[in-house]
Amino acid sequence: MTSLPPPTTTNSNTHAAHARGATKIYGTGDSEVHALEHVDVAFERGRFTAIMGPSGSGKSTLMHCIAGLDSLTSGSVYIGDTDLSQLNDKSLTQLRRDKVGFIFQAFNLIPTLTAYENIVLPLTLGKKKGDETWINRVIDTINLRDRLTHRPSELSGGQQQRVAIARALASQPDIIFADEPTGNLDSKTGTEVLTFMRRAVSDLGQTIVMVTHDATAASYADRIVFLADGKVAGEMFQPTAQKVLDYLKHLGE
Amino acid sequence: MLKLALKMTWARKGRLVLTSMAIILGTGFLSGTFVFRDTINQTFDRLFADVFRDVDAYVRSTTFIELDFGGEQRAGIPISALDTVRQVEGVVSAAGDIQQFARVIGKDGTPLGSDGGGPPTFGGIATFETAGLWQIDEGRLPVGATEMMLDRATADNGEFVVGDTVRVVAAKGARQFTLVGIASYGDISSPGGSTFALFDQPTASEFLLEPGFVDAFLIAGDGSVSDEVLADRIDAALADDLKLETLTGAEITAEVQGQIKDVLNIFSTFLIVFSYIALGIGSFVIYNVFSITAAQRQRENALLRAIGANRRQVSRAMLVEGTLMGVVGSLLGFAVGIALSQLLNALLKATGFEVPTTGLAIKPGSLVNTLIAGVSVTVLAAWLPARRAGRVPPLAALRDTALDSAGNLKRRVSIGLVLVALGAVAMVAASNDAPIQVLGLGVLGVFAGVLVLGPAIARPVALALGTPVAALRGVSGTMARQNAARNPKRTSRTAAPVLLGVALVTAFTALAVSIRSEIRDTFGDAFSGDFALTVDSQGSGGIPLSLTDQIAGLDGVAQATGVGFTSVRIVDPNDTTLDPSASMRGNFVQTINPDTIDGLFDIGVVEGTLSSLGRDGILVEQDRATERGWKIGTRLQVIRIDGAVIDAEVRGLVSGDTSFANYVASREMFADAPTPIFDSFVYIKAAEGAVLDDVEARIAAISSDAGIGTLQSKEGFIDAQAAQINQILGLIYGLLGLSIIIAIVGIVITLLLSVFERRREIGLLRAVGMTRAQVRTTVRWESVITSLLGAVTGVVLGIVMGVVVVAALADDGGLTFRLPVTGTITIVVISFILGVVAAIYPAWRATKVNVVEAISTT
Ligand SMILES: Nc1ncnc2c1ncn2[C@@H]1O[C@H](COP(=O)(O)OP(=O)(O)OP(=O)(O)O)[C@@H](O)[C@H]1O
Ligand SMILES: [Mg+2]
Repeated sequence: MTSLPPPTTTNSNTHAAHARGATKIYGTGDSEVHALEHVDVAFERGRFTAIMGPSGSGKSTLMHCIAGLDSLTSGSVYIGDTDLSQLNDKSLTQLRRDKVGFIFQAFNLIPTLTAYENIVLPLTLGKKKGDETWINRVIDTINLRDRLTHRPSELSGGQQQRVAIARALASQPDIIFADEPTGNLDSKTGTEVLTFMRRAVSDLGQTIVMVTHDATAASYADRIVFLADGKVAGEMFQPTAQKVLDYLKHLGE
Repeated sequence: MLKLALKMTWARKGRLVLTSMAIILGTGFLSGTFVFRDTINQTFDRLFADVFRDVDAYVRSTTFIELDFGGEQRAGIPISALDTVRQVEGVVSAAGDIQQFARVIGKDGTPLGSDGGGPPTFGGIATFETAGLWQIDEGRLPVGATEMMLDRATADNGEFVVGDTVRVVAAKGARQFTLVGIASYGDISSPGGSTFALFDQPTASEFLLEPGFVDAFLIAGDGSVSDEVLADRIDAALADDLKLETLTGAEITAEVQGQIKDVLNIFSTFLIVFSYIALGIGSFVIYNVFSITAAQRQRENALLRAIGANRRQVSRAMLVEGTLMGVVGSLLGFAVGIALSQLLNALLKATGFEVPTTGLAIKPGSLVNTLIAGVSVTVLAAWLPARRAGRVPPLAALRDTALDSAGNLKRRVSIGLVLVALGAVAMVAASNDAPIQVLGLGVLGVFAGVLVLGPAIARPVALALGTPVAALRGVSGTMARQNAARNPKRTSRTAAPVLLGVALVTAFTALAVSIRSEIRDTFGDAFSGDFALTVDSQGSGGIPLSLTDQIAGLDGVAQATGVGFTSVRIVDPNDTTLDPSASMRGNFVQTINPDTIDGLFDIGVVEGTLSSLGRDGILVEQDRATERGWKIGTRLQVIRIDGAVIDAEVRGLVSGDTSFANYVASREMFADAPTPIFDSFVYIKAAEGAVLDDVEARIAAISSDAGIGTLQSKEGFIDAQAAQINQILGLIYGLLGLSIIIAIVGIVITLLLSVFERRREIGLLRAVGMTRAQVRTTVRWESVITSLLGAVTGVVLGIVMGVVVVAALADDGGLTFRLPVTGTITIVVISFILGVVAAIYPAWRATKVNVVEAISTT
C-alpha cells in the first residue's frame, strides 16, 4: 500500500523550495537535541504537500527553517533558487514578505488592523499595491467580503483562519507554509478551511506546505512527507485518510 | 501566601527593575536635596565653629531691624568702648569687627563677584589680635589709610599679588589701596564665594561705615573663667546708655550658624518642594506600571482565584510586591540621591556659588524620610491595581487577551466633568476676590478632573494626532496610531506626567508673559529719561549717593535722580493691636530725591505731593494704607537701623505699580545715619540738544571708574525690568526639566511593557515581512503620539488656567492675558523630541523579539 520512492532530485524549475542535509541542533552537550538530522526534502510547485509525524519529530522546526524564520545548524535550504543561508536579516525579511506566505495555528492576525488591512499587510509592508483582480478573487473565494472592515476580535475562529489564508495568498507568494492551520477549529470549520486551501492549489495554482496531525486534513494534500526523530521517514502520494491511518499505525510499530 | 507572593515577585525581576526605576527616580531627587542640605549645613556649622574658635565673648548693639528674608541689620557701636572691654579682668585680646559692603575692582576694571544676586561682597577689619577672625596667609597686616588685605580666593581669582594696587568701592566711594597681605578665614580661603577687602580698624570704620564705629567687638579670654562669667563681667563694665549686649562665643557661633541655615534653608526648602512635586508626578509612573503589570497578570491571578485563593489573598500578594518594591526602590533612590547631591554641588560651583563642603552629611533622618515618602507613594500607587486584581473573576483564566478593561466610561466622564466644573467654579470665584487658596483648590480640582477624564479623551485625541502619522508613515504609522489608541487608560496614564508638567509650565509662562508686558507698559509710561544706571543689590550696598550727584553734574546731563532701598521699622503709635514680637520686623523703604525725581520717573503718587516729603514725610502704598487705616496726616514712627526714631507723617499715597516698596521716603531722612544708604537705580535725562552717545560715554566713564553699576538705555532698562520675571520662569523651567525626565522614564517603561506584551504580534509582523526599521518606526511613533497627547492636552489646560489665573490676579484690570506663542511651540517641539528619545530603547528591544519563539508560544 505504501510507496517509498527514492528522494527526488532537486530542480528549482519544478521545486518551489527544497532542503539539503538540513540539520538543526538545539542546546549543547548533554542537553543537545537533534531536531532535524540530514533532512533532504523538496516541495514541488503547484502542489499541496502535507508534513506529518509524531509530536517532537521536528515538523515545525523544518517548516520554520525552510520559511526563513529560523536558521539551520548545518545544511542548506532554498526558496526557488535563493540559498537562505546567504541572506542577511533585511533580505530574509523581504523574501518572507514577497515570496512566502504564512498560516499559523493561532494568533494569525494583528488585532488593531481590520480583516482587509490584515489581508494586504505583506503588500503594504512592502509598499506594493498588489494585483487587485487577484485580491478580489481571493476575497471572493474565502467568502468574507461583508466582513472586510471588521477587527479580528469580531470574527469567529474559522473566519480568522480564512482571513489568514487570504493574507498568505494575497501577494501571490512562491510558497505558503501552514502549521496546523485547523488545529484550533471544529471539524466543520476545519473542512471549510481545508477545502479552501485545496482550491487555492488546484484552481489558483498556489504551492502549499502544511503541517498536520490529522489524517483527514492530510488527505486533502497531493503528497505527504512523514518525519520521525528529525529524519524523513517516508512519503505518500494521493493519500486518503484510511491510507494515512494505516501508514501511521505501521510507523508506530 | 506571603512566601508565594515573594516568590512570584522574584520571578518577575524585569518588571521589578522597571517599577523600581520609577521609584528610584522619584526618591532620588528627594534624598539628593536632603543630603545636599545637610552637607551644606554641616559645612557651615564646622566653618563657623572654626572661625569663632578664639572668640570667647562678642559685644554688639541691641538696636536692630529684622529684614524680610530672615536676616537682621544692627546698629554700629563706638570703638571707644573697646578700651573699657580690654580693662575687664580675664580679657587678653579684644578687637573691633566690621562686615559691610565693599566691592573689589578687578584688573580689567570690572568688579569681582556678581552684581547683586550672587554671594555678597564684604569689607572688614584685619587685626593682630588673637580674637580677630582672619589669619595671615601671606604678607602682613594693613596699616593706615592706603593699605589693605584680600582673602585668598579673591586674590587668586583676581590674580592679585602682594604689592599690587587694588581699587575698592564702598560707602564712601571708590579708592585705591596697596595690597600688603593675603588672609584666610578658618580652614577655607573664602566662604561661599564672597569676597573680602580688609583694612585696619580706623580705615575700615571711615571707609565702610562711619568713623569711630564698628559692627561688633570680638573678645578672647585668658581662660581663667568660663565664657559665661567673662560675658557677664564685660556686660557689667559697659555703660547702659550704649545699648550693648554681650554674647558668649558659643552663643554667637550658634546664632551665625542659625542665620546661615535660615538663608540656605529657603533655597533647600524650595528644592525639596520641587522634589516632592517630582515624586508626585513620578507616582503616576509607578501607578501606571502597577496597573499594566496587574493587567498582564490577570490570567495568573484568575488562575490563583480559580484554584481557591480569595480576593484578599490576591490583593495582598500584589500589595506585598508593592511594599517590597517601595523599600528596595527607596533604598536605591537614596543611594542615587547621594550621587545627585554631588552633582548639585558641582552645578552650583559651575554657576559661581562655590559652596565649600567638608565631606558628605548622610543623616539617618533623611534616609527615614526618603523611605517613608517612597514606600507610601508606592503602596498608594499599588493600592488600586491590587484591589482590581482581587476582583478579577476566576473565569478570566480562560480568556486569552489580558488588557486593562475599558472601565465604566460614562461614570468616568461624569466624575471627571463634575471635578472640572467644581474646579472651574472655584477658580472663577478666586478671580472675583475669593482668597488665593481657593484658586489653588480650583487648580487641583481641574487637574484631578482632567486626569479622571484622561482615558475617555485619550482615544479620540490619540487617533486624531495619529492621522497625519498614518498618512505619512504608511502601515507602520497606522499601527502606531492604533497602538496608541488601543489602550486608552494606559496611554492617558503614560501621558499624565507630560500633561502635568506641560500644563504647569504653560500656565506659568502665560502668567509671566502677561506680567512682563504689563511691566513694560508701566515702566515705559513712568520713565521719561534716556539712561538708567542700575545695580541689583537692593538693601546691601549699591551706588554711593555721591556718584549720583556727580552724574547729575555732568556736562550734557539735564537731570539725574537716584532711587535706593533701606530697611526701617514702621510703628503706628496708635495701633495697639500689633503683636509686640512683630515690632522688630523691618520694612523696605524706597529712598528717593524729591528735588530731582519730578519729570524723570513717576513713582505713581495717587494722593498728596512729592515736594512736601521733606525729612519727616513718608509715602505709603495705597493698599497698605487702607489695610492699616492710615491716611494723609497720620503720624507714624520710623525707626532707623541706628535706632534713631523719626516722627514722620504720611504725606501721600502711591499706587505701588512703579515703586518697589510699600513705603517711600526722601533720602534726607537718612542723611545723618551712621549706616549709609545707597542708590540702586540712577535715572538720567540728557540735556536738550546733547549728543546721546557722548553723554552715555561720559556716564559710562564715571561709573566704570567707580567700578559699579550697569548703564542701560531707556529701552534696555525697561527690558531688564521686564526680564526679572525670567528668573522665576527659570525656576519653573527647572520644574519642567524634572517632569521631562520623569515623563521619559514613564514612557520608556510603558513602551517596554507594551513591547513585551505584544511580542507575539511583533513576531507575527516580522514573520509576514515587517523589517526591523519598520518595527522601530511603529514603536517610535506610538511614543511620539503618546507624548504629544500629554503635550496638547497640557497646553490647552495650561492656557485655560493661565487665563483664569491672570484674571484672578488682575484685581484692578491692569493685567491682561497674553498667549505665550513661542513658549507653546517650544513645549510641543520638546514633547515631540521627548517621544522620539523615549522610544529609542523600547524600539530596539522590539526588533530583538525572537520570531520563532513569539509565534510558537500559545
Ligand atoms: N527552542 C528550542 N530549544 C530546545 N529544543 C527545542 C526548541 N524548539 C524545539 N525543540 C525540540 O526540537 C524537537 C522538534 O520540535 P518541533 O517543534 O519541530 O516538533 P513538532 O514536530 O513540531 O512537534 P509538535 O507536533 O508537538 O508541534 C523537539 O524535541 C523539541 O523539544
Ligand atoms: Mg509543531
